[in-house]
Amino acid sequence: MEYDTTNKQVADYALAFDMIGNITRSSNKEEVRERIFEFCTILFGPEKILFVTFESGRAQTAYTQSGETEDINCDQWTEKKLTPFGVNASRDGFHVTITCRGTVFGILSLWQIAFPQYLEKYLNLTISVMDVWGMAFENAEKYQEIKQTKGRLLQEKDKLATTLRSIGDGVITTDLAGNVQLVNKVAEKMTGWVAQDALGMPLRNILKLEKKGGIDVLPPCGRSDFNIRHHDNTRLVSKTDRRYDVSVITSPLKDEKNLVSGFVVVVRDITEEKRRENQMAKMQRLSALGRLTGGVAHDFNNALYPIISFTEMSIQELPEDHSVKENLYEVLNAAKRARDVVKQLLSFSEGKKTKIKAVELSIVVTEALRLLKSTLPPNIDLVENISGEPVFVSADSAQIHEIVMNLCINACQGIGQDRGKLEVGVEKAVITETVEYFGLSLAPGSYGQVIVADTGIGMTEDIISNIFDPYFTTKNLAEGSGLGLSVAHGIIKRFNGALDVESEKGKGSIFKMFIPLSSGEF
Amino acid sequence: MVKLLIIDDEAPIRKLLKKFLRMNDFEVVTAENGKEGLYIYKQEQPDLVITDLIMPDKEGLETIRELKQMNPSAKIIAISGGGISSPTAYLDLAQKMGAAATFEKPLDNEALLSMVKKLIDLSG
Repeated sequence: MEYDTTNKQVADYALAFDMIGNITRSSNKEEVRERIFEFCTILFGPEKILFVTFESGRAQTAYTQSGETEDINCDQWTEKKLTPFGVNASRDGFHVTITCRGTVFGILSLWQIAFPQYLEKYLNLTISVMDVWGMAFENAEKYQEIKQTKGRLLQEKDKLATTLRSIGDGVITTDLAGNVQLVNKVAEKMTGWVAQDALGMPLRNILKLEKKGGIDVLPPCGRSDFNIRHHDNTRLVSKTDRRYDVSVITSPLKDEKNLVSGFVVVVRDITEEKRRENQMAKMQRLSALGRLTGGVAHDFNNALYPIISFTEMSIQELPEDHSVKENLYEVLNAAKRARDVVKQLLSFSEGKKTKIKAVELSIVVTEALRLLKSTLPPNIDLVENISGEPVFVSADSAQIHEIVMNLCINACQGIGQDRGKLEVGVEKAVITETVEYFGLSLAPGSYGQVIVADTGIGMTEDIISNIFDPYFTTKNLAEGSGLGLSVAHGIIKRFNGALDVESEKGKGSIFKMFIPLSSGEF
Repeated sequence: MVKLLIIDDEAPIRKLLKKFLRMNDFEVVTAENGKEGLYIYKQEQPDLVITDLIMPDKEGLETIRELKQMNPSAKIIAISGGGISSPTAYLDLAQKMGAAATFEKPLDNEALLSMVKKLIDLSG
């Protein structure tokens, strides 16, 4: 009998340990409960098992071994939790309170075990494993929590990724040292860097900004008293040398202790915005220019009138062959030219049409150059390639004058402070087959040609392709409105001519203006 | 001799018109603004008035209107160098006010002369 009892005990414990192994692998509390039921059923063969679950210290639900629930008096059971174990009145069952680290998970009760004479042994066995059951419950709970958290995290991660993808701005995050940790799609596009390659690199390698005086997007290392920093009017230079006008906002990222743990940099492409702003400004300047022109024209006309009149009268009052007469004729011509320019200025601001007639290019260009020479800086050499041969074209002389002046001024600005050469020439050109220059095509035939060549800084392909767009300019506001070339282009179009540009960065530019020869004469 | 009144705030312009018109056998008196012009008109009673439109202290248009009020058959030629809007806008208005003819500065003096002669001859 003793031998059997000992063997049975050994067998029971062996079974118990085996079950313990399984139970701690359970991933939810229901499973733990089921294994406990299994354990009890096999080892103790009770008629009834009840497991009362607890939540926040209060009895909740009572489960039987068949999985069904039973109605119980929650208050009674809640009180019962205070006793870790106990034997029932009829001494054929017991209960144990299963806890782990102070949390009560439930009370297990058994009635009418198969061998009541072993009640104490069974109770001891149960007591020795109930801590493991408690741990199993806790683990299962934790596992579920972690699973949920993981799920929520994944959801959040997804949401964030979608949000970042949908944000129209570039977003880059860095750690406290300024090394890149995240680059969203838009930032990838703007900087020219693929996120993978950018990770871990210092921000200034990825985000190259141009601004007078330099840019400090991130605060010097170690500063944690940093507030949001805003940079407007800067230019981003991408890996492929593309330029964007951007505005940059840097904000600190704070951890749960409210200490700065990194930075998030938002880069917004404001190129379009700026373009519209510039256009607006230019339109306003244009209308102001129109108003100014009106006012200036008034004063000009009031000054020109006496000049013309007194010169005319002087010519009349001088004897026939007087040497001064020739000088006075020059004055008169120039004054009349000035009068025409003012008229043309006014008509431009009013939108009136100008007349096309036979114009001798050499004369118009020579006069334009004469005006230019008076304002030409000493570092620029002017070379005139104007043959004596007359070149008659169908155009408006004042407008040709304006275009030539415009091209020459551009050339001078291209040369800047360095030593340079400006060459202006007038010649005839024959076009043998239809050719197109910047949207204007030239039919085969004879043309008058004005060539303006400079040894200035030249232009890149990018700039050349935009050069006749209204308001496109590489100059700052004080130097030019960007209207000149687009107006010239429009004017040449009206003359059925064309404008060609050849340029090489660092070498200089050549502008060629083609106008059809006129058949008429003066 | 036919007497002309020139009203213009610019001294060089008064001077040149005086010289030119005297060279062509006209008597010329001048005023430098509308107020003075109206005063001299009453005193001298010229046969024709040539007036600028943009002037300080009584604008040309108002001067024309008042001249016409004083003498409905007054002969007036308006000249202008332009302003905030186009010179033509002002000149159109001048004609509506009663100016017989209008010229834009810098104007052709010979053309002005022909117009003066034409307007004077009309009255006989």
